[in-house]
Amino acid sequence: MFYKKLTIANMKTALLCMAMALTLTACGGGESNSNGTGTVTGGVFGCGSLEPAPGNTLTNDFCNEFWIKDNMQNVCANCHKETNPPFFMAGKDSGDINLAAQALLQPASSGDVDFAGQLIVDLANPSQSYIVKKMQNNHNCWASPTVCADIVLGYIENWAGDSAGGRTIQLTAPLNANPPGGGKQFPATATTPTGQPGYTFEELIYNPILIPYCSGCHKPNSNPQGPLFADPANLASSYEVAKSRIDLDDPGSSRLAVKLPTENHNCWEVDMPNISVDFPTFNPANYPGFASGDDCADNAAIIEDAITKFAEGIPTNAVDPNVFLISRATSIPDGIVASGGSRYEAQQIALYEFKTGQGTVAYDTSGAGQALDLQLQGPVNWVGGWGISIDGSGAMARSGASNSKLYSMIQTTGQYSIEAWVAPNNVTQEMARIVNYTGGGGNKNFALSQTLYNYDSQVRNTNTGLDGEAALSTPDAEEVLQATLQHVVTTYDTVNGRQIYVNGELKASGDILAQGGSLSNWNDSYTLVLGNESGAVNDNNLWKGVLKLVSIHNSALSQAQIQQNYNAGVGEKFFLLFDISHIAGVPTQSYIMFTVSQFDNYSYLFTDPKYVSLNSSIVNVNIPIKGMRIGINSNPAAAGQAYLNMDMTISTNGQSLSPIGTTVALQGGPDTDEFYLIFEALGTESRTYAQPTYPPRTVSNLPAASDIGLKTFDEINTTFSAMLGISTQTGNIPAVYNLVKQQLPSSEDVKTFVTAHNIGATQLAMEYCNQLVTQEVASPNIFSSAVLNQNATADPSGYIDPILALANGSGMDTQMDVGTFATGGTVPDANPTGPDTTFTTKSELVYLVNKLNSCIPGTCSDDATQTRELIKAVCTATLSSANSIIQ
Amino acid sequence: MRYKSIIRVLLFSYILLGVTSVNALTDRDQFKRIHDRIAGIHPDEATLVAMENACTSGYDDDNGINHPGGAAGSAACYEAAAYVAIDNPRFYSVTLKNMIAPWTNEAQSKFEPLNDYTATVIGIVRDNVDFRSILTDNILYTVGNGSSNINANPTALPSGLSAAYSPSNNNHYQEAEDEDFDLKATLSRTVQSSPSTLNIPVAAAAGVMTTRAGAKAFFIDGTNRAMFRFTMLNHLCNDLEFYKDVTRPADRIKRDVSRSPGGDSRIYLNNCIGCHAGMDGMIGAFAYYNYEYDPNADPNAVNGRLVYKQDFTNESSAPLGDGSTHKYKINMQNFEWGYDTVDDSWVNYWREGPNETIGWDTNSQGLPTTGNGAASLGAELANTNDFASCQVKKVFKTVCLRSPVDAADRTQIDTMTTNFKSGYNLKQAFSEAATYCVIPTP
Repeated sequence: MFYKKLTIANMKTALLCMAMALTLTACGGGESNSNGTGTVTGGVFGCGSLEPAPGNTLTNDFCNEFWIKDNMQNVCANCHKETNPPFFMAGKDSGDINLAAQALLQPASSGDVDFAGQLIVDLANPSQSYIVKKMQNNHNCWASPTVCADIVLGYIENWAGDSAGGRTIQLTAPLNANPPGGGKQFPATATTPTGQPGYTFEELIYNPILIPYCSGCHKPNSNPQGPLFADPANLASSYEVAKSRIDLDDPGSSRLAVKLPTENHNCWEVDMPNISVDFPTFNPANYPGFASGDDCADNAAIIEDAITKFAEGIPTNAVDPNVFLISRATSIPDGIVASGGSRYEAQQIALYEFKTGQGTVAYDTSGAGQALDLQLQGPVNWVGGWGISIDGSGAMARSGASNSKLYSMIQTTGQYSIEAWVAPNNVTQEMARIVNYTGGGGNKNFALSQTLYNYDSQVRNTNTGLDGEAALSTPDAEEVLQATLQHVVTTYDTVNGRQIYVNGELKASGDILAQGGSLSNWNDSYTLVLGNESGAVNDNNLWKGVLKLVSIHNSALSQAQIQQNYNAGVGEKFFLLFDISHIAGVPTQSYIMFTVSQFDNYSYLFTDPKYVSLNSSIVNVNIPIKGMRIGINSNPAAAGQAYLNMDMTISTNGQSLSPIGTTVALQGGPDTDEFYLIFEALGTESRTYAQPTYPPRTVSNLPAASDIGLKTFDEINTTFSAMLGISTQTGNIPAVYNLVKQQLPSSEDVKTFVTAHNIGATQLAMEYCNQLVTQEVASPNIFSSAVLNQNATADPSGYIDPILALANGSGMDTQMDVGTFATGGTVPDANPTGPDTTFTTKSELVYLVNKLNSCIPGTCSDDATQTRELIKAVCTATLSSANSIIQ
Repeated sequence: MRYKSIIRVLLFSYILLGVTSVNALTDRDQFKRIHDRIAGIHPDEATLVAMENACTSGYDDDNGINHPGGAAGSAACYEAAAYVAIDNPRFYSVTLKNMIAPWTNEAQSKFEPLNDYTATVIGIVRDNVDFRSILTDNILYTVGNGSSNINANPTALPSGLSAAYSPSNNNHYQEAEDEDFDLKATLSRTVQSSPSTLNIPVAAAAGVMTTRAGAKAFFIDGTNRAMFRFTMLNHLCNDLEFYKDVTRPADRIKRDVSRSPGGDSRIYLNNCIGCHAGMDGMIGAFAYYNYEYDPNADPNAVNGRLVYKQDFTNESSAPLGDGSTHKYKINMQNFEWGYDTVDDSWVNYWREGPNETIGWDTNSQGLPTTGNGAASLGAELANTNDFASCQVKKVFKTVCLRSPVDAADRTQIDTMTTNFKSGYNLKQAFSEAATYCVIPTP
């Protein structure tokens, strides 16, 4: 079975797998010259002008993608033109290029028995080409061996891609198709002992750690924070939920332990004098850094220790095929190198794929000109599956100052493209330089930057500033930039100015400012910097995120070329074949094949599941398949199971099983993690997997609450309305209500009462009372005209009593203690002078009346005008009192 | 009034706060509390007398249902008296309105103006319509002739109201609220599919989720996940944080969800997936809805409208909609192997796992775990035990002024939930809560 795929290389795997037979004799001999001597002058040959010319497409592509490259012309041609076979540089100065191409497509013929039968160039599997191995072994390399090998491999891949429109990869059975090795599986219940007495989830983890320190949030309550693994009322449910946060195979990687120190997540201070009481199984001596002042680290140690003891007692068992219907296991090292497709790199002048995974150099593997390698400075970390992460202050990847390759090559064409696969850390960083060709201090030749949700493109030309401003940006409203892996390209040419493409789509164009300008004001001494400004630490322009590929081209890539590179993808990928032939009802040589890659430092990406039979005579099959899970090491992946609902019948060889891909958490790493598939049904076999049951969630008691509360805004308004019998729509009441509405209580909680509530209620009450007295709305229903028009010093009971009656009701104990009037409208305690004075509502109102009347005969008179003021005051005080505001 | 007088009045108001004391409770005290809590206003003397009579002699409520009452101080007495308060117009225009208003906006503000979401719920309560219809039915209440009969010219405007219902603004309800219309007397039942209301297909109507206000709050911009989140929050009483479960199938998580936010897939695998696995399976139900408005001329979306269209072409062009990518196709390249919405199907993965405790299909109707469109998803949600429990909890809080705090309160919630599920009548829950939360004996 062959699959038409193009590849990018994986040198390590290829080395492991390859059998080699031929030694390519080196000019100068030996495996030395690692410093390289190649001097590149740029391409000067044209394949179309050769004599004889390439006679077919294959040779023509060979010429364009391999033979004409600077390294070939300036290094390899020194020997392999006509001195030392194979003569794959024939045609340079003399000879026939058609013979040169054929010379590479032969097996190596002598010498190196380890590579017997290996093709010098294997277009079907470029990474297995002998010439690549030769470079890896430091054969006259012009840079580091790894870089040379990558460069030559890239030539071959492009040659293969161009010639065949796609390369075929031959699938082969994995060498190690064994049952899953298994590991530790969770005990049946939270109270199942796991070794020593008392070593249960409940006693090691739940009681001493989760309940005291996590149940404040991670339990069902009025404001729960999932996951709910610390429910004091429900051990069984907590255990089920906690399982996905515990790694039995690597306790230190358990989410429960990792969360606190990595996210400073609600760490607690360990009570050191009582540590043996609080955590009786914990031995601080096992954790050298313990009690050094970092609470989070101490917490993590305690949690890791508890999980370790929990896991220690659990036996390591193979995954039981009687319980689980499982495929054979496989792993990344057993995978077949895959790739996404061929990149367009014809005018690529710098390429960083970040493959090395260690050290402080990001190599330029473009093979164009003098390599523009970058030094990693500050907190720059390697990312699994190829990439670097720019993580903090002072981080950058920076080229040396003496290399002016970018300047000279871009000046030649007057065009460029910056291409990158990036995963910004966030969407909050501004003026953050992702790719920066800079002189420091803001001066730059070009840059690709991030501002919030936008990508920005800066270029210095005769129309723009020396800092490349004003930038062209992606549209604000589209929020194109996301904190996820994206392919971004900014192009520049004099006709179009700058353009920005994201994930293959044109997102910014119409760069009128830069159009028509030239790059004549560029500076050839600037350096290429990834993630920052050049020179001194300048975190104002620090960009934080992951770079998985950066490429510079000295042409403005077309939409089609950008789309091609986007489709090619990024990072190393593998085909993993899960053997299912041993399952009844499944033909021999049957596999479920996934394309798998390391997604980032913490997960694997599984995509494109297919049924594959390596027996090419099998075309049609009839294999029911249902409920597929991905297993990793000892257990099904806790999160990310995307094929649980699969329920179909496989009918053809090569059939895709799902368009869905998924990520599962990385555990030990790509060299050690073992994968397998688990099915509910496959072929004629099936298994039933019991689902855990979850008892009803219970909630804990809350603090006792007040039995009374506040009336809220509408309730206060309508209460006033109802008490006085005045419509809410009367006079100026709606305006006043709208004015104070949001000042009135919005919550019934009596603890939320503030003075402003009372002031707002008073303002509103005042307006109701104004309508009652001044406009005489509803007043005839409450008191007589005589009362309204009496002198201010007359008996106030004529208006106090009716108003209190409306507000207070009768026959209840939960009402105001209104008191009684003495003859003449006085009350005994209306002028309190001592602390023991007894108050009643009426005494307070009379006191209020007397105080207000103190203006007589100064600023007011003893007449009806003053009386109405008194009534309004009494009315307002009564309405806006607790009697109306509390319910 | 002069300045000095104002100050004196204010001071006096403080003094009056706190004069209430309890010594020997009477049924009148309890009736007053019941009325305060249900109608929001003090009962006058006539009302207290009516409640006393209802207590001992029974009461026929305005829906014609008899509440027999009982001995003074008994639960039956208080329940019958509570219906006197329930029949007060302020129960609808104050208590219910302010209980419902926070459900109709993301900020959960009680000050949200009256709108068709709020009015529809009020109408459903008034007419004793099965409360589950708030998430399922082709139902709408406008301010009109007060009829519960959808054939009774419901959109005829009452005297004094000038703004008719409009699918493109809230003027109709705003005016009714500003002028304090009696909602009990004027709310009229109609349908969302009517040309004079929202004019959406019958099959597109799903209770308050597809009202104009519901759309304005939760179908506006974004990805319509807000409708799911806030429906859960408002009608099952827990935010998504409560429902996080990373173990559910991940095959319906859409492409716009980054699997490695900022380059760290732990965030996705430990957090994002917990909500999206379940949520994204269900938000397919809302795939054909959008709240369209002109973001340039009307940035506050005051004049937008609910739009229902069964395709995934770009949003409508100006004046409504901006011609941008369909909201279910935004950021599709964040994870190209994620789920790509192709129709309005939904699937409920939370029927299993920790969220099985939501109590799905609580009435054992044999409801499917999948469906198409918002109404069937609404039925899935409305027929949970948590839906019923949530409604009575909200009533409990409205009447008792607290969330359930202890075992006795939780038992009362369970009892009220069971009773509520017998007919999904929210008034009954109010009367039961009022009975439970009478003034404690000193």
